[in-house]
Amino acid sequence: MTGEVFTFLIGGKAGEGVKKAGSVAARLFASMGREVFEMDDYQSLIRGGHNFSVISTASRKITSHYTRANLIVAMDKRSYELHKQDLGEDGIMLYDSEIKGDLKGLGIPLRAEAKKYPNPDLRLGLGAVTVLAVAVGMDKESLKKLIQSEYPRDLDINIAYATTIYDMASPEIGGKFRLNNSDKKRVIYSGNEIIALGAAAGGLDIYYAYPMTPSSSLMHTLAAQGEKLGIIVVHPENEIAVVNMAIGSIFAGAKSMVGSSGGGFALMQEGFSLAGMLEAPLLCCLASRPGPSTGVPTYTAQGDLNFAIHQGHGEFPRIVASPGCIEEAFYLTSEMLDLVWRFQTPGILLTEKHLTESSMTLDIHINKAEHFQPLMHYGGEYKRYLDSKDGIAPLLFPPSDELIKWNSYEHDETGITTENPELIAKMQEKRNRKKISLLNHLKNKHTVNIYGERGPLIFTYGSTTMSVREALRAGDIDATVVQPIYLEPLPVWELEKYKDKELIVVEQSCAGQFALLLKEKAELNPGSVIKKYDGRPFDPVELAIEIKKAVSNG
Amino acid sequence: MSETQVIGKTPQKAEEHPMAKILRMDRIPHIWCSTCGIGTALTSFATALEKVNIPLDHICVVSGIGCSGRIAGYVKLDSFHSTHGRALPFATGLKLGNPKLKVVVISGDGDIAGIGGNHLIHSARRNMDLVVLCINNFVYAMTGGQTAATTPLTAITSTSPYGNYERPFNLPHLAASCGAVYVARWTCLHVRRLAKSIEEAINKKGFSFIEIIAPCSTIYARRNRLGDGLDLMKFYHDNAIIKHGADTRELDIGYQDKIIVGKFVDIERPTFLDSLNAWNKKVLGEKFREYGGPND
Ligand code: SF4
Repeated sequence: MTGEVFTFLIGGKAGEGVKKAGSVAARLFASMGREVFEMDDYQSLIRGGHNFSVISTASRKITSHYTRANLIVAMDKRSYELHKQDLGEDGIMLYDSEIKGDLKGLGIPLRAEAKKYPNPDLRLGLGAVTVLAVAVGMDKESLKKLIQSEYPRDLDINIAYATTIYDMASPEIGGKFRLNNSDKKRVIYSGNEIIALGAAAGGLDIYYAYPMTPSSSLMHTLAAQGEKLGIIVVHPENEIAVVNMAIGSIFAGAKSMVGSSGGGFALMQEGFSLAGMLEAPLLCCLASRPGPSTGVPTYTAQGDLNFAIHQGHGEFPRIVASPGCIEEAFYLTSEMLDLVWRFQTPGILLTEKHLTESSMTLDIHINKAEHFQPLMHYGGEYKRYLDSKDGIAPLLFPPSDELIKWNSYEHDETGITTENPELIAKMQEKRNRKKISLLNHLKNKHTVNIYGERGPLIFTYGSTTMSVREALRAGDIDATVVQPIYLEPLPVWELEKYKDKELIVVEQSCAGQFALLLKEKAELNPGSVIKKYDGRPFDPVELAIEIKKAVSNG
Repeated sequence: MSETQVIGKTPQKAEEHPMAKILRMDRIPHIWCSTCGIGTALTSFATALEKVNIPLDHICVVSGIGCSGRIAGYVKLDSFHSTHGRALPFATGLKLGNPKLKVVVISGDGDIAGIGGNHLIHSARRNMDLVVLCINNFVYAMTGGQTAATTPLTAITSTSPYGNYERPFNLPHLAASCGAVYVARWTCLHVRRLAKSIEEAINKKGFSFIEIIAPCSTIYARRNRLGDGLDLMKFYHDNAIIKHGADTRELDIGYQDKIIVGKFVDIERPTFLDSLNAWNKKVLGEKFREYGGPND
C-alpha cells in the first residue's frame, strides 16, 4: 500500500455529523504534528444523502486523500456497502452495531449508546472520532481536550458518551495503529477558508455573493470572520446584482470581490464585460463543479477553463489564475487582488470543489501576501480614461472636486459617450495596451510552478496538481510536474522550452480543455492526456498507475 | 462725447445659463428630441440640487440605458452610466462603498421596472438609502418603441401594433409595497412640485421613489397620434389630478386616462446600513465597529 500514509474514512447519512467528524479527525491528526489532507464527499441533499469524509495523514507533506482506507467507520448500512471495497489490507471496518446483515468487521454500539441521551444523531460523529482516537492510541485526557474544543455543546454528555465508547472499543482496537507524532504545530484550512484569508491579506473590503456550491463556504467563512477581518459580506437578490454592486463599490474605492460557481458566474458575464469597459478592478472567485447547467453541485471538475478565459463579451484584458494547492490559494488570492487593481481590469481566481472544500495542513506567512495601493490621481484636471503610455489611467474616487465619470458606453478620455471612429479605435488600443503592460509585469513574476527535475514531463493545473504530486509519491515516480499558475495570459515564455518535448497532461475535463489550451497557445504537443470527469477527484494510487502506463506508452 | 453713445444700460457679458452649476454646458446641445420630457425632469433635478444642503461633490448620479440614461453624461457631478437595468445594484454598491455619498438613480421605466425590476423590489425591501427618479414614458424609446412593463393597455407600440394587452405596473404601488419610504408621482408639467419632491427625497434617508410621467413625443406619442409637445402638456393639464396620500392601489394608469399625482408615502424606517449597524451592535456589543464604509 502507501507506506507511511494512514487513511481514515467515515460515512453516514447527511445530518449525522459526518462532515464535522471528518474535520475533527483531521484536527486530531494535526494535533499529533502530522500532515493531513481531508476530502469531503457529500450529495446535494440536506437530509438522508450519503456523506463521507476521507482523511489521509502522513509524517511528510501530503496533497491528496487516498481511497484505500486503514480504518473505516460506517454509521449506516449504505456506508458499509459502499465502502467495504475501500478497506485496505490489514484495515479495520467498524460499523454501528444496529446495522443488520452479514457484516465483516467490528460492531460498536454508537447509536445504542447515543440513544441514552437526548438528540442521539448529534452524538454519532463524536462516537466515530472516539474510536479513531482509540485506534491510534490517543489517551483519554487528550481526547477530552479535543472534545472540549470541538464539541463544546452538551459537554458533559459528550464526555460521558465518548468515555463509554472509548472503554468499549479499547480492548478490541486500542492502539492498533501507532502513528508517528511530532511536536510541530500544524494549522489546517479548507480552500475557501484560505481564499478568505488571502483576500483579507490583500485588503478586501466587501465581498458580494449569491449562494452556489462549491463557492458558498467562502461566503460563510467571510460572514463569520468578517467582523474580525474588517470585511462586510452582502448577499443580494442574484448574481447580476452581485457583480454590479461590486463594481459600484469599486467606483467608491472599495476593494470588492465576488464569488460563484459556473451557473452563477454565467449570470455575471455582462457585469464582467462591464468591468472590462469601465476598467474596474473586479476580482471574481470561480469555484467549479461539473456542468453544464446545474450539473452536479457538490462534486469537482475542471470544465470551466474555457469559460473562464473567455469570460465576458468584447475585447479587454482578462487575468485568470488557478492555485495548484490550498496553500498557494492564499498567496494567489492576494496577488490577484493586486493585479486587478494594478491593471484595472477584471480577473478570475479559477478553482474547483476539490480545492475550495478540501482541507490540508499548511504554512502561510501573512506578510508575504500582496497588498497593492492603486495608482491615484493628484491635482489637476481629471481624465478617468487618460490615454497613457501603459494604458493605465490614475484612479480617483468621490467625493472629489474633479468630475469622475465611468461609462459602459464607449467613451472619450473623460468618460463621455462617443461614437466617433477615431476615439473608439483609440480607446480599444488603450485597453489593449494594458494587456502588454500586464504581460511585461507577469514576465517578472513567478507564473509557473515546477516540481521535480527529471523524468517524464507532466502538465497539470489547479487542484489536479495536488492529485498529481501525491500520485508521484504514491507510485514512487520520478517526474517533473509543470503547473502554469496563470492561464490567461498563459505564460508561454516559460513554456517555450517544452515545445518539442514529450509530455503527459492530467486534467479533470472530458474535452481535455487544458491540453488544447497548451497546444493552441504554447504550441506544445501533449502525447497522452489523462482525464477524469466523473465529479470525483483522482485517487493517487490509481493516478500513479495511469501515469506509469502513459510513460511506458510514450 | 461721441454720437454713438449707448442709451440705457451697458450690456453685460452673456448671462450664465441658470443650470450651469449642475449641467455641463460643453455637452449641450443634448441628444433628446425637442419636447421630450427627460430634459424637464433633469431641470427639476437641477433645481432641487440648488436647494439641498449637500455639497455637490457628495452627490453621485447613476443611470441605466435608454434615452434617460444619457443624463449621467450631462450633469456636472460624478456619474456612472451603467448597463441596461443595472443602475440600482451599482448604486447600492456605491452607497455601501462610501455611505457618505448621496446616490441618485435617474433612469427610465424600461430600465428600472422592466429589465431591472428584480433590483427595484429588493432595493426597496432593503430600504437602501437611494433616490430613484424613474422617468416613465410608457415605452422603450431608444431601442425602437417596444412595449414596456408600463405601457397602458391598448396603447400601440412597435411590438403591439394592434394595441397592448399586457397589464402594466402601477409603479408607486410596487415601490410602496416593497418598502419604499418616500413615494411620489408627478408629470413633466408639474416642474415646481416635482423639484420640491426631488428635494424632499434627497433630504430623506432611505429608499425614495419618484415616478416622473414624461412625454416621449417622437416614439410613443407619434405612434399613438397624440399630437405634438403642446398637446401632450395640455393632456397632463387636463388629466392630472393631485391627490396627496392617495391609496397606492388606485394609481393604475389607463390609456389616455386620468393620472393621479402627488406624494403618496413619506414614512420612516431604518435603512439597510442602519439595520446592519444597529443589529450587529445589539448582538456583538461594544466590540462591533460600526460600518461607515471601508475608508471610514
Ligand atoms: S425618443 Fe422619446 S424618450 Fe427618447 S429623446 Fe426622443 S422623445 Fe425623449
